[in-house]
Amino acid sequence: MKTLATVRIAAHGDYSVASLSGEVDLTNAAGIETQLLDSIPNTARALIIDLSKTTYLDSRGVQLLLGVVDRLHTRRQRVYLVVPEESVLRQLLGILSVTSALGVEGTVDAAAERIRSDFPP
Amino acid sequence: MHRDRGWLVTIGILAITYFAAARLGLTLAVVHPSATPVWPPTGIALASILLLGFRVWPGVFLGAFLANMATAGTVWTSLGIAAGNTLEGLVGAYLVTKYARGVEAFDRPQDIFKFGLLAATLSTTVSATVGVTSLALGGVARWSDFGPIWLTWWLGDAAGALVVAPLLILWSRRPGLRWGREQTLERLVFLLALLAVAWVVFGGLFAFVYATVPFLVWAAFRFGRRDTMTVIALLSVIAIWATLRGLGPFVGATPNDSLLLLQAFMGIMAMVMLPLAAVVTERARAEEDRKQLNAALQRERNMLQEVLARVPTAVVLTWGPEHRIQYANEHAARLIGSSGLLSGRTAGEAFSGALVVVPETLDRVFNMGESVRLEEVAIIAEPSSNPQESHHYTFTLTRVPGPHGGSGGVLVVGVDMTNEVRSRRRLEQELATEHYIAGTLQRTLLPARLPDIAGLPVAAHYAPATPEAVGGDWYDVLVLPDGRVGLAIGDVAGRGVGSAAIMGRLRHALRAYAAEGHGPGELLGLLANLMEADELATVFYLIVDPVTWTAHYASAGHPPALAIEPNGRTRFLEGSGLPLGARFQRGYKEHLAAVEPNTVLILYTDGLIEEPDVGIEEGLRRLEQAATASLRGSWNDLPKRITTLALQGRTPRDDVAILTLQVGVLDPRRLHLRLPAVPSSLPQIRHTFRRWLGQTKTDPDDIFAVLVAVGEACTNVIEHAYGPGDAALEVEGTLVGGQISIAVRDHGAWRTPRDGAHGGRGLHVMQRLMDNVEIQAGTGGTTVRLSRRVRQKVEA
Repeated sequence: MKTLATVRIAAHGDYSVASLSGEVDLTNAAGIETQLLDSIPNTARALIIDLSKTTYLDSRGVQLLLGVVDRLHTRRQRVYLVVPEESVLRQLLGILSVTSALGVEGTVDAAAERIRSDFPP
Repeated sequence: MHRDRGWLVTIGILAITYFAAARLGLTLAVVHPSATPVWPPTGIALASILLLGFRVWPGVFLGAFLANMATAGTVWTSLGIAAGNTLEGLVGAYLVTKYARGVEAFDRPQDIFKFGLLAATLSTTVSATVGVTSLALGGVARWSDFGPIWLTWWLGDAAGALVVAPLLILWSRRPGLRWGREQTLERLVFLLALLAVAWVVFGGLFAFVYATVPFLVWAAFRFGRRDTMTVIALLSVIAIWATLRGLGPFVGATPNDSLLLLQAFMGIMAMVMLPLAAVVTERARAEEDRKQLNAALQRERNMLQEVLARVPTAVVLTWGPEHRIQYANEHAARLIGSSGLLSGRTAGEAFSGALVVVPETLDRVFNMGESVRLEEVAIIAEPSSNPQESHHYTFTLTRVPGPHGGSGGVLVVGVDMTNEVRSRRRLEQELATEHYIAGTLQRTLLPARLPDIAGLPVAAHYAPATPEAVGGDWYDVLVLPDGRVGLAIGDVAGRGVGSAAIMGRLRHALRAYAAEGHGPGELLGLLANLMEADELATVFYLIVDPVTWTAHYASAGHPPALAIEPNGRTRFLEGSGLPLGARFQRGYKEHLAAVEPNTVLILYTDGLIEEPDVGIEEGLRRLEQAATASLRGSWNDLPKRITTLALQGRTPRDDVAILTLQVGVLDPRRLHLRLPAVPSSLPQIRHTFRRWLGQTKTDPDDIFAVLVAVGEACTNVIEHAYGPGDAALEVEGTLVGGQISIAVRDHGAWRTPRDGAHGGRGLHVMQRLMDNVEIQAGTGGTTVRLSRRVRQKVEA
């Protein structure tokens, strides 16, 4: 890990996966938000944001995630969060009710499965 | 062949001329058919041999032989006479050439007299003797008549030599008639008057021969030698013609008497008037020479004055012990600012307006005889004028010897040095400006303050080689986004503004590349790409990771960093790359070294290890010793202590930059951070907390909770720190018996988060993650206190 945080994008037709590794705070939140919004093509129905490799996230980061959810919602695109069960992030997401509001999956595969059931072909 | 043909033609012409002249002469023979009063052939023979050389003698011989054959002689007498005539010419020409300057015999009176003696008097005896003897032997003349015939012969030849030879020689040397209108007129008047007088004297009206003398003197004074000689010849012809007819002053009792008088007249006139003409000519020439010399001198004088007037140099000559001005050129007059005449005034008076050279200095030169040089004296024409516009002169004072030895005067020469002085001042000013720019650049380019990193104290020192010049040494310390710390040090070849600019470029590029997360080896490769032609720099870049206790580093031709371990062992971190800007780049290898806690890292530039007559190895050894011996004492002064000890009081040959860092261990119970209230401090705070809590084996979930709570508090401070100034943020933590307490202070006014959006969410997060949250607002700032219990793994 060299810079504070990096976003890696993988497109899978119907949905994209954005893996966010590193730390998100005041210094890079705006840049990350832009990268996440740019990661999903108009044709895709959903974006999986994978926080498995995110080592730090505070209220600023949560605000950014909610902002992305809102923006994509207006385009009728849904966001699925992936946070492993053992992640330190879980307590924060719980405190801020993100877990209950969005639904959080433990793995990318689980999230992909959710998408397939939410958007039957 | 061609020359021989020419010679034959000459011989022929000479023989014919000689023959004709002889026939003319023989018509005058009265005493004996072979002895005449004037024998022109003698003159022709002498002149020919003198003018054409001895080799024309056969012409003389042939002409003489034929002439005598045609007269009364036999073959034998004719041969004898011809031999005598030829011999006479050769002897005469030889003597004249040897003793009377040859054809130039008529230029000077003394040579004319010699000519008269040698050619006319001496050599003619040869012909007379040989000729009369031949006649007597041949029975043509009686031996009893030998005396009178010999005398007549001799005198005739002498007259011929005296009248005809000079006439021919003078005409041949100056053949043309170069007379002006007035000269021609004068000669015409002269000729008419002469003919009239000749008619009176020789026509029998009044036989007074001296009446002709004024005309000869007239000719001698006015017409030169050639024309004088012509007049003498003309008069001779008239005299002979008249005498033969029994007219004129030379008619004597016997023909022989007449002949003698005639010959005496001709000889004396030639021998008097020719020298007179020569003297007159000589005097005229001398006069002409003197005039030319004067003209040349005048020209030279004018030129000298012109030069003295035009040189940008003041020249003054003073004379005598009072230093009266003898001469001053225009430049000097302008310089002194004197409108009146300078000559005759004393230097004291003349220089009183602008005191250029004091009379005391003139006294010194005059009395001691030593030369004095006054360098670049400023001359202010008017006291009110701007000193920037003043002129500068360098004066040289030299003693001039007097006419009777000792000192005569003093020559003062002032050379205008104004341009030199001005351009030098401009150059000095430019150098000072450049030094100022370079110095400012360097100060700007070195970090004003090093970051304060908890547990990793850094310090630096810069020792310039000379106070004036500016080197290209630089260093930098960076806290990387991932919490590691980068140390950079470099040295740009050369000095001055150019080097400082390269240094600035490298430092900022390194910062940018480091922020992008490039490792040391990769980063140096990127920096190498920035170098332009003929630029050269060394750089050492090292990244310390205080969590893994390792250091990554790479070197571009830079001296190795020194590491001192806690047990006192030292080791050099050697890199292997070439300097940046080197022609053949091979990339930069990244090295990895384990760094034990409490190791001290020392980065420096070569000014610290290079000294005259000491090898690099020895320099490194001295640095090792100096560094080890300097460890005790305050951390901030460590680089300075090492420098002082390593240089042992010497001024370094090159600039010295030195950077130290201790890879320290954090106090497990207490942590204190003071950082600028800027966003980039946030990662640093988290990294330090991770290090601290990681060291104390705190549970990861609890660490995360603390990190987020502290992050929320600090973000709030940073967002509300006003202005770009030095707003500071202070974080203090204690960890005792599983209870962590953190105080986050700012030194500005805390604002309770207004917008419920994220500010309220931040406070909410803090309250949920911590057991207790307190906010104390005061006049000096706000303190947020956070505390909770944390789980710590007990060592098994």
